Amino acid sequence: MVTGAASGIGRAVAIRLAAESWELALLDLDEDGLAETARLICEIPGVGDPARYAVDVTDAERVDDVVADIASRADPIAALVSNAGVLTVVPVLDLPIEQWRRTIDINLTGSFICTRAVAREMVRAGTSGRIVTVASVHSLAPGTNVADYDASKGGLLMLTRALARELAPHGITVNAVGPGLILTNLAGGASEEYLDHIVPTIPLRRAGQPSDVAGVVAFLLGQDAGYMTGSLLVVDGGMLLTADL
Amino acid sequence: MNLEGKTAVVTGGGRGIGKAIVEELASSGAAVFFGDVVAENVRDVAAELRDKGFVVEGALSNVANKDEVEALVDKAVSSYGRLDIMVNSAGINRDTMLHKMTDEQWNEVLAVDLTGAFYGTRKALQVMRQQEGGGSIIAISSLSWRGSLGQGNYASAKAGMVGLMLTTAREGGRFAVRANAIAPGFIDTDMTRGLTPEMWETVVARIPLGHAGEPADVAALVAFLGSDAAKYITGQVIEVGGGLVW
Repeated sequence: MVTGAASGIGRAVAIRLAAESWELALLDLDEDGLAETARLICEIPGVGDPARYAVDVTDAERVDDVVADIASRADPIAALVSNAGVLTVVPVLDLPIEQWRRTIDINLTGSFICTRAVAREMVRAGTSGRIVTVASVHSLAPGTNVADYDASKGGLLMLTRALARELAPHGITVNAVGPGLILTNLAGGASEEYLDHIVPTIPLRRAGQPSDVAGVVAFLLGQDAGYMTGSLLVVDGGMLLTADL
Repeated sequence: MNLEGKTAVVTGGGRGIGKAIVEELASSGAAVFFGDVVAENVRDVAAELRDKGFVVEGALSNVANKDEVEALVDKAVSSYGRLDIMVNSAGINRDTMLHKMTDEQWNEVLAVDLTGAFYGTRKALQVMRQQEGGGSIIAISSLSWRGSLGQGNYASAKAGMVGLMLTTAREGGRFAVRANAIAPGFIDTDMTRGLTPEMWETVVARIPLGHAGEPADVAALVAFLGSDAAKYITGQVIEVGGGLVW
């Protein structure tokens, strides 16, 4: 199950997992975007249409229903990629409470709602499983004019670690990836000026692609990462070493 | 992981985590050159893996001796024309409480675990800066880099490896040279088997996943960091500890 699968990192993750023969359930609010992701997946030889759900991740009842539906259709849910997130750039002095609540609701509470629903299902089915949350370099370091996003991603990292601890006895591992500057719609708000300033400060001298993150998510969901839990894998080209976010 | 066409050097590859790394990289398709200080282990590991059809070459190599580390890298480069993955895995421990630690115990551990990693990193950088596509330098540090009872020398060396790695990531980035460290937790090797059964149980009880790790658990992450799937990851310390908090 992949949330936020209609674009950006979520779409790249879905395509990568489809290519690795995962059976997918894709969630997003944006139905057109989901359809486009599904179309791209169907271009992979031998891969069928993924299940799609129009879902607001902040709607706990709806998420619970969708998880129950996914579980009833096929094999037990083996993995969740909790990716849905939003980012807007507003100085903290001008940040309206509505925007603060929306960001925290989607990025943090939405992730709680989805991970709880899937973890409950995994425990009920008695199967082990993998959960990967999409955190951020902003889980570790604050940016400029993104206080709500920083707080939501900082909280998401701690949620990830708390889940890792509580779910380990059930054989469920929970890890996070921490993307840096990745060229998606989310970063589309970044000005040319910002990109010109920031990219030369990244040790690998380039912004990342969604596929750079997707490969790391696939690793965390695979056999090879079985002894990792509660970890954050930062995918930032070294940005945290040198850059002023 | 697919490492076809890549060339790797692994120090301390004769047993434990190092041996598992050699096997994992080789089975993923890389040509692997490894060193170790125990001649018997060099011979046996090379023979065992070649029997499986892997491209593996072993050499007697003490990382505390600069020339021996450099010779290992030179051999890989002269055979395949490049070095894609450098794994600084050779390590020893001489555990004792700090107030009783001798100069020899300190110097011996630092010479192998930290200075050995410096020799390997410097040599790898010299090669990787010059080649298309850079490379991946991986330090096998330890969760004990945050301080560890009876391991003042080992913890200092393993923390030093993190500083070395972070500097390598900064200096190597523009040449597409990536540097990362792995911090294994409690892994079932000869090193940890030296503990009393009571100590063993005490540590395992603190691990959320409920068991010690296998060398293969660490090796799998090395293969990932050496692969193109990790091509935007640099400057990280990644823990493989089953959730163990040190």
